[in-house]
Amino acid sequence: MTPQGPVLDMARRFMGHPADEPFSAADKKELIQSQFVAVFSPGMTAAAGPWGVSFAANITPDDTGIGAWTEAQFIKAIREGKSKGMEGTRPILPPMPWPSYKNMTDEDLKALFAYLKTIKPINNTVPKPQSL
Amino acid sequence: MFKNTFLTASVLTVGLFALTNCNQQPAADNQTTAEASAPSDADIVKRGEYLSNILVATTATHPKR
Repeated sequence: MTPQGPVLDMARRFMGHPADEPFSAADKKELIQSQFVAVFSPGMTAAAGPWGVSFAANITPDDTGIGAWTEAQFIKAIREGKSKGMEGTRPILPPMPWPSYKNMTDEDLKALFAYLKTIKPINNTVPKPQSL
Repeated sequence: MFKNTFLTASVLTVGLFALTNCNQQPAADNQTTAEASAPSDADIVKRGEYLSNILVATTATHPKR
């Protein structure tokens, strides 16, 4: 925290929801379901909505992130909304805007993947999605 | 008769000029495309960084603790 309030920590922005920051919206379940709203964690890396609770993924090149991913997996994840870019996996949950990102060109998606593979790996096992 | 011949010649000239240009333009474009289609690895990574800065600004953030 700073005198100006919270500021972005660019070194951590791809690590996903921090494993050591518990997030629950159980006390807001009625509000979420009756008003169809979403509730976010302070860092905006966890979101609770009608779909349940979802957490931003670790997309650093660590083993807990996309370290073992292939370029094809990355493209499939964004194009088809498949978790880990693999068949038979769960869909990527809101609020990840993959239905918009899927329109990116192959060249842009490949460039993104190439860049993500160059950043500093961060060990962070993101929690699995939860029900409300 | 003369008038028709003149008109025909004029149309042909304009048409040929246009065709000539049409034939030249794609060649120039192809050359440019060929040069631009082989970016270096560093260029690709830089583009990925540029895109990530746009995309992530609208999604997950990590306020400093």
